[in-house]
Amino acid sequence: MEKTAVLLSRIAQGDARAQSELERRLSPKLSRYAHGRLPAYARGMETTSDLVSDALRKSFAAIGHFDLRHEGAFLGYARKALNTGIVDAIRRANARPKGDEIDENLPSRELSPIDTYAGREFRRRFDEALELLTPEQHQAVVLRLELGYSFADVAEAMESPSTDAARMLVNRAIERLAHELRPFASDL
Amino acid sequence: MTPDTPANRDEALRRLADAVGDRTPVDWQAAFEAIPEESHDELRALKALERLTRAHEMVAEEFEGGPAAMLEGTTIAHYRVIEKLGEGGMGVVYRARDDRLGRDIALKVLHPDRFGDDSMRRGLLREARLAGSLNDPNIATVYDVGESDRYVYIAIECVDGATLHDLAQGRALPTSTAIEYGIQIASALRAAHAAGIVHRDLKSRNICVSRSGLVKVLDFGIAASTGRAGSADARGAHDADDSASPAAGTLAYMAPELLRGEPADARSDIWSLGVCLYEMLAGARPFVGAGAREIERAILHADPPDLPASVGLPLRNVVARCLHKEPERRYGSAAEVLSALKALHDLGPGELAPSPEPVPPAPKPSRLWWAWTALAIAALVIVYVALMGRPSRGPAILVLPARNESGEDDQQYLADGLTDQIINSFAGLSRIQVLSRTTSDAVARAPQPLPSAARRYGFNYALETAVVRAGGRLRVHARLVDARSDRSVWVESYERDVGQIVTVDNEIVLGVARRLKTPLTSSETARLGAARSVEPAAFQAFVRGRAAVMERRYGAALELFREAVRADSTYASAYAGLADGYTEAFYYGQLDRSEAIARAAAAADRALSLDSTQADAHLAKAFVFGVQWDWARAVEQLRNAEADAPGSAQVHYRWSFYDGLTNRGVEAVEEMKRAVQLDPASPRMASELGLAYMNARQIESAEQEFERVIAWDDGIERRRARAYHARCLALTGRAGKAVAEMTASGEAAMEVFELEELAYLYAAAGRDAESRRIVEGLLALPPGAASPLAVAAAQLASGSRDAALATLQGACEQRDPRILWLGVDQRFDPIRSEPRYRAIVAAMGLEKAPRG
Repeated sequence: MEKTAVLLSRIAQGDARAQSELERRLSPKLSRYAHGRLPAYARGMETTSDLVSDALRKSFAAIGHFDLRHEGAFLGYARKALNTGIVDAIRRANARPKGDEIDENLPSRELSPIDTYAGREFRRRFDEALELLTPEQHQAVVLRLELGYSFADVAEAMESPSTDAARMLVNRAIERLAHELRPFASDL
Repeated sequence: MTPDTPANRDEALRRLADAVGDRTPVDWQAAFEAIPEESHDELRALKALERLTRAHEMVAEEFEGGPAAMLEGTTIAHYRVIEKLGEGGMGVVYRARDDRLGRDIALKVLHPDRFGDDSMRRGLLREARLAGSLNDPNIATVYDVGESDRYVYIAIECVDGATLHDLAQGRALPTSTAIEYGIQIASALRAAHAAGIVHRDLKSRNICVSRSGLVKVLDFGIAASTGRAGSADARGAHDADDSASPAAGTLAYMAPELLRGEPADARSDIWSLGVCLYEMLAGARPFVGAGAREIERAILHADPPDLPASVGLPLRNVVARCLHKEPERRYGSAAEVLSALKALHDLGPGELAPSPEPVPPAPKPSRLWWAWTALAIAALVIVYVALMGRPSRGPAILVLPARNESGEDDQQYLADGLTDQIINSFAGLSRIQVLSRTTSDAVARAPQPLPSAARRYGFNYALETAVVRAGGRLRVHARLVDARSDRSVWVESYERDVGQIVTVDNEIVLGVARRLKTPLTSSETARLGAARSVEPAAFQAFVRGRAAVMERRYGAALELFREAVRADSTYASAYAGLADGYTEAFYYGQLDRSEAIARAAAAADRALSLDSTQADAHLAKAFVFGVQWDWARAVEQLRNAEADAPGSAQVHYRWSFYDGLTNRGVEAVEEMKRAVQLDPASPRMASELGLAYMNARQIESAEQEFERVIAWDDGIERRRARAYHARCLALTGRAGKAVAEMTASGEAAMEVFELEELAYLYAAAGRDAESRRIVEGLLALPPGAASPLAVAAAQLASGSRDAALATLQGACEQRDPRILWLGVDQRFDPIRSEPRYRAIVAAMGLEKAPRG
């Protein structure tokens, strides 16, 4: 299997098959991520896969303009594009009338699954704190914490010299995140 | 290694960060115990990051299929799954057959993968087993807890009956039945809390009632286990349970603190019990809405609609106390609720009957009850809609008193004036909250770490300013500090002529709004840009006048405001201050009333002609129209004031005043709560909240508020609160105690308002002669000194109905504003049907006054 970095390089040269291959490879990961970030009520008007396809399309278009040479960088960009799409989807869903009454047995339909489990306010603070990290730290955290990559996969996606180096990158980024989130800890 | 040095502490935190990144289990309780408190914020952040990681794992598993929910026909351990009974957020419940013992059980199959690693799963099993050890007739027995293949299961006693939800859906239960069920639920909670188990998901669907009327509460400990590992002390669970996700409970039953992301403890269960009690008594839940967001808002901000008229005051009070928004104001334990409900149970149906309401009786009382209930609900809806319509309030700012760095004490006025001006300017913004001056002073008087003060008073940022005067020039330094981290986020300096001090404050406010990326409306921007310079002498007199108002020295305040307008006849704020001073002089009878009101009106008009956005002038005009009983125009002025200063505690206080007068107690309490939120260090505002509660007939809440002021203030507000607290006692049948409380330090040193109260208390306690003696003394005071309302209340309580009505009639003819409370004051309930009384109330026009 060709490395993602190779596919990215081919995509930059206009290789449609490489693009198709990378889309096939990354879509499940991003779909899972989108599922976690999209509240139940916002699903339906457009499917999660529509949002993912759209985010990937924008990310592919950005390859020539941004430094997206490895999987970590590319996924970091795609995640941002996807988040934008999710916000728009929620906005559209809010604009349409809500008919049925809430099912009291569900914890909350207004919250996305991630917000339900982790807390909406914390997730928001986390997104903000992520922006304060270096691009490498940012990407490593997304891969490990959000997309569930093993350290070996993080190393490959980030082109780190070793699994240990990837682990170090992730864990120091977590330490930094904790420091940045400290002012809001009483709200957590 | 005990992390007793910074290096060790950093190393310990680093290892925890590694554990989060590595996804290895962390014993957070041990970590919190081992690491010094100053690093707990970092620990909490790490713990939250671990939770986020876990959340992504759970979502991934869910997305990829997760554990199957269709288990009918299969066998788990030795339980044969018969049929699915229901499904919740944490798992699926089946009816199953225990083949070994030959009995049916309810089998709750949880999604084991949701609990992440082994330690969490072990935590769940431990909690469920602990819950299984509970032995109380009102708690469904847990027979068995275990794991089989992919599943974690709990085998629970199968109750043959209906859920409370089914019983109370759409119809109220008889009061006595609701009390009986409430007693059993409270008993179950008491047993669980004593064992250190908090339910956290108590709801009517989790409560079963057998055919014989035996209540069984289900699912103890399960919700808690899925939100955290470890047990919780009944009251102190919040210490250990800071990881609780609000989503762990069921929204409609969740206490406000859980929605705010605070931890659950026994008091959260007491809230849920309150919701269940309400549901039984009303046949509907207290906090409803078209969606989760609306329900959340209702839980956080709205009072529930009135209970049906058939529910008496004592029981309403029990429900209200369970449903107090602030956990510390609820019952302290389930045992206390149990005791209160048992006391009601022992009273019997006659004594549970409803108490009189503040409306005249009518030929068909039952229909009128419904009408008033409907009105109360409608009023609530209006408040609710109003709340919904308000823009987001945004960050809260504390403006610390400006420092005078001129080296000369006589320049202190510049610093004081700047502080006031900045607060006023912020109060004009709809998307930034500002705390009032009283609170700024309180924070400055009691130095404490900024983050602690922020938590206590509820602000996000502190604005520090310093003023230096050098001749005719002024230099102002401003610094905005993030209160949680105690770090500067914005710094600016301004150099202007002294006369431009009233423009600097607006520049500072604009700078802060930009830094916080807070959008301003075009009118807000225009208002901030429209300030003009002022004569320094006028500014100095104005600032001193404001200080005199704060100290209730209204005569001195009037003189200083006059001096200010003499020095600068175009100074709108000084005219507004003058108008405000005249209204106070009117209210307290310090000037001839007709003269005071005319001067107040003229000063307010002048202020508004110079600057139409002077909120204080609008408030003064509202007062002027109010005492003329022109309620439509008064409301218009209140609206203008609110538009100009939506964040002003004074504006909310005046709205509360108006709502209270016009028998809209619910709204009055809400407005007053908002005022207190904006001025949390003001004992006066707290007293006024107590009064709002009292006029809304929420006597227990009023008592608590007055008790808070008594314990807190050591000045005049303490004395006021003590007098009102005594009245609360008398209104609830404890007049003897009220008199004892009031006379503890003798009558000799009493102020007039205390004597007024004492006269009523004596009469309520049946000591008519002593009441009359005080009333005679009050009537001998100079005209206008004693409140006619207080005198009439004492006269009425001592049986002098005619004298009371004559006193009220006289005050009505003189348009004494102190009788405006007549329509809602509970002391006048005995004469509501009296034609003379009704004529007085009708003359004031309050019954037809428009809504705010």
